[in-house]
Amino acid sequence: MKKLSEILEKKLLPMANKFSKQRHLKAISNSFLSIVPFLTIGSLALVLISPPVDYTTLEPGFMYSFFQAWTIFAEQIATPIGSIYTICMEFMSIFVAAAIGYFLAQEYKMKGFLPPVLSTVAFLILAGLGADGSKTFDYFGGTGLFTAIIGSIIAIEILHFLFKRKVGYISLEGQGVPEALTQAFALLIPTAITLIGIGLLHWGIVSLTGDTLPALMTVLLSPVLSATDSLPGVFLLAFLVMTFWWFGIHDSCITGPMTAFWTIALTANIAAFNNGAATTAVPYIVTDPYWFMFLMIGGSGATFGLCIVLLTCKSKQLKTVGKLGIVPAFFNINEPVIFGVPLMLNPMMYIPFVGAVLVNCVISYSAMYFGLVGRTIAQPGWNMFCPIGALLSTLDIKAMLLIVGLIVLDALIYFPFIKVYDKQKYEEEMASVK
Amino acid sequence: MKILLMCYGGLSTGLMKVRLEEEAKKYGVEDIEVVATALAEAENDFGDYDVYLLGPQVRYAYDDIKAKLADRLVLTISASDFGLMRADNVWQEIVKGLDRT
Repeated sequence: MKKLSEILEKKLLPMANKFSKQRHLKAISNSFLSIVPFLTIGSLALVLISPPVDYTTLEPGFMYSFFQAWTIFAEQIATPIGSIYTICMEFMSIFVAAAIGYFLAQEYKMKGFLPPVLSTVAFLILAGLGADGSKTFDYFGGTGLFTAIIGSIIAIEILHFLFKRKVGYISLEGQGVPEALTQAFALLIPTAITLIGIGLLHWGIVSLTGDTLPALMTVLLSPVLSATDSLPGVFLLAFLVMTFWWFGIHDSCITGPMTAFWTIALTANIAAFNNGAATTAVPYIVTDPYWFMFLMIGGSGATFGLCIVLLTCKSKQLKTVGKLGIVPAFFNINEPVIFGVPLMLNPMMYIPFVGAVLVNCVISYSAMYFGLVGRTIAQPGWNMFCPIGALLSTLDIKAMLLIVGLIVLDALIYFPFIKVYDKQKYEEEMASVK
Repeated sequence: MKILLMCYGGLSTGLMKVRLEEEAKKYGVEDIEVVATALAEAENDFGDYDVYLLGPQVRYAYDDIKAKLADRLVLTISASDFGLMRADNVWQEIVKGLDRT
């Protein structure tokens, strides 16, 4: 055990450090994190104006009146609230492009407003024009996300390359010129070169393939998306994330960059839902809310069920962790539990820690695959209490019941392991008192 | 005393923040300010704090941060102190650390 943790400290942690500090991945993670409020508001706006049940099919009663009222309300507010959905979701790639420009420029210590504007312009050149040169909005939503990522990274890389070598740098310093003007001039030529580069890229792709970058990306990414949306794909991912967590490496290292794929899947679901598809009939299962609401109930390791078990422990330490952990568990924060039990690097806890998540993964996936519960069409944010989050993101009451069932199941999975561990801890505590 | 507490998202350290402030006041340190933040956020600007604390989930960053803040006290909270929210132990570590410097 000691040897294992030594290997970990020396080899695995520096690797995790490097990975989590990788500039582009970090910029992507931070960008998606910063736009979550807009995805949440945008997708919930759609939910608000889309009553999930046609009230005319219901028997008269409370539910009939409830959905009738909702339908009338939805018709009234459809225009103002619908516009929030349309812009937040269907123009999302524009602000992702700006965010990546901002965060990547920060990594390079390039200050000012220019980099995020430049990255947005780069994205618009690549995605806002069709192959025939006409303007298009088709790729401003989820389908343009990878173009936003790639275009922004290329633009900022070129700008940084030129900036670092002072190529085309016009210096007006010390000539009584205001600083803002100095900066604008300093980056004028690098900005022009960057945009020419992006323009040439756009032209090159169109001449070679006959279509634009986002159209090309859609074709290239479709096998990747099928893989991430498959049961083996998400099972393997969950296994890796949980095993890494067991080694003490935070899940965001992996899930941060994965958010790009999950967001594409989620926006495709939302678009299908907006076109009238039922939540059971939207294309993708594996999305951001699927991962955080259905797999990681109470936090990575599905520790909500564990917290309940901990409260019944005899050992003072475990009971304390249960008490400390239960409130944050409602918001899916579980570091106290991971470090307090501990689950991390605890050989007795590896099986339930990873196993509970994998069981949740297979059961929820199957339930969605066979249409027993709705798939996710809204982003409630990962801090939402899971049963409520599941309801909001699927508009299916059965999803909420599924989560409650999974919490009980997770508790049962943890139970035998915790009982043995509790006995051991309790005896240790008794022995140290004597 | 100003303390910067860092973890991955700045959320779980928020729990420690409150306890640490209470602990300091127990020892008569009224002038205490604990700020919980995300490591990525802190790396852009480490600011001016007396003590820098790392949650166990970001302990890998210790060497990097120590190199940048050579003249400051940088400590990693042990997994068990963090999990059990033992602000008393953490406070003792801070006091010991400050005595040394």
